[in-house]
Amino acid sequence: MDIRLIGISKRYNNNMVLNQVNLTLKEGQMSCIMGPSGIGKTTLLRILMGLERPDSGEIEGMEGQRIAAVFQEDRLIEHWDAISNVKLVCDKDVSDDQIAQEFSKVDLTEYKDKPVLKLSGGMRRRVAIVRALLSPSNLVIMDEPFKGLDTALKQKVIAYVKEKTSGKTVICVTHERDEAEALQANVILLN
Amino acid sequence: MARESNLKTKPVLLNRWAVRILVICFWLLFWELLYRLIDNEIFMVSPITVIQTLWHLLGQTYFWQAIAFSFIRIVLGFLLAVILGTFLAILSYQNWMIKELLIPLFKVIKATPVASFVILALLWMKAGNLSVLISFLMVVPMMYTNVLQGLLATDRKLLEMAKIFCLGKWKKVKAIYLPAVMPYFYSAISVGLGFCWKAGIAAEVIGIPSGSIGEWLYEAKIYLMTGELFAWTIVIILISILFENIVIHMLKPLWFTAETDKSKDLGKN
Repeated sequence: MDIRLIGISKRYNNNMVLNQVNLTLKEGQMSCIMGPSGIGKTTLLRILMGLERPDSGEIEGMEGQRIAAVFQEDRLIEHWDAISNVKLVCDKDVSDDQIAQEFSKVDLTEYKDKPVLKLSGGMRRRVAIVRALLSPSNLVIMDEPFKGLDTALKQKVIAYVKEKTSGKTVICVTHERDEAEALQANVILLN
Repeated sequence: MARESNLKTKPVLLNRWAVRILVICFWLLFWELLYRLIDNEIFMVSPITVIQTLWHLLGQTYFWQAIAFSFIRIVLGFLLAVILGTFLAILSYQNWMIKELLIPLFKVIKATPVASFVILALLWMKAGNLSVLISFLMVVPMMYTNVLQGLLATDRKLLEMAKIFCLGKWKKVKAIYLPAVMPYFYSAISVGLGFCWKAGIAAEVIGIPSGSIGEWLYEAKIYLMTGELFAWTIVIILISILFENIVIHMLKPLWFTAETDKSKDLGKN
C-alpha cells in the first residue's frame, strides 16, 4: 500500500516548518527527500514515524507498517558492543554469526565485539544502518544515513542498503544528489 | 607488555596500602595524644582501653545479641525503603499525578528531625520496632528522589528508538532504563546505608528498646563508661562499612548488566 501524506503542516512556536506538504511514497520503492537545511526534512520523517503530530493534515497507508529507522544521530546503546546493539532489535532467531556476517559486508568484522562508544563516527553509522536493515520491517526510514562515510565505503554501504531493502518501502533524507542516484531512488524535492 | 604493566601497578598498590596504614597510625597517635592531654577517663579514653573493651565485648553473648537485634531491624527498614522508594519512583515516572501527590510527603519526611519521628513513633508502636520505622523513613525519600531523577534523566532519543523498533518492556529496561538509573540508584544506596545506621541507632538511644545497641550506648552514657561508648561506636561504624561493602558487592552484577550486554540473551526475551 502506498503511503500518502496529505496537507501536512507543522509549526514550532512561530516558525512554520512544514506548510501543506503533499507527497506519495510508492510501496516497495525507494524515495529520497532532498532540500536545503532547515526545510523540515527531519520533521517530516518524525511525523511519518509517529514521533511528532502534525498541526494539520493526515497520513494514509501507515496501518500495519513495521518501521525501522536510521536516525540522524546513531542512537546506539553506548556501552554495548556492536552485535548486541543489532541483536536488540532483531527477531530472536537471528544469531550472532548472522549479524557478524552482515557486519563483514560493511567492513565492520573486527569491530563487532567492541563497545560502540569506542567506535569512530563512520563505524557507528554503519552499526546503525545494519541495525535498521536487520530489524523486521516493511518501511525503512533513513535520515542522512551515509553522513561521515568516505566515498569508497559509501558505495559499499549503498550497495548493502539496496540489497537489504529490496521490496521494502524506503524513505531517505539526503543532501547529496549522487547518493540518491546511486540508490536509484525517486527524488522528492522539498522547498 | 601485560607483565610489564603488572610490575608497574604492584608498587602503586603497595604504596597505597602503606599510606592507608600510616594514616590510621597517625589518627591513633593523635587520639592517644588527645587522651593524654585531656587526662580524664570520663571525657576521653585511650585507644588501647577501647581495644581492650572491644576485646572483652567480643566474648559476651549480649554483645552479639545486641548486634543481631539492631542489625535485623535497621536492615529490614533499609530494604523496605529501597523497595518502596524505587516502586514509588517508577509510579511517579509513569504518572505525574502520583508524582505531584508524593512531593509534599517526601519533603515533609526529609525536613522532619529524627527525634520528632522517634517521639511520635513511640506513641504509635513498641520501642522494639522503632529502628525499622526510622531507618525506613530516612532512606525512603533518598531512594525515591534518586531513582526518579535517574528515570527522568533517561535518554529521550533512545526511548524514541525503542518505540520505533517496537522493543519489549524488558529490553527497554535492560538497554535504556537500567544504565540511566543505576548511577543514581547506586549513589542512593551508598548514602542511604550510612544514613540508616546513624538514624536507626539514634532512634534506639531515644526509644531504648531492650537488647539493642542503642540501649547499651545509652547505658554506657548513663554510667559514664566512656570506653564502652567508644567501643560500641566503633562496632556501629564497622558494621555499617561492612554492610555497605556487602550490598555494593551484591549490586555489582546488576551494574555490570546495565553497563554491558555480555549475556547476549536479549534476543530470547
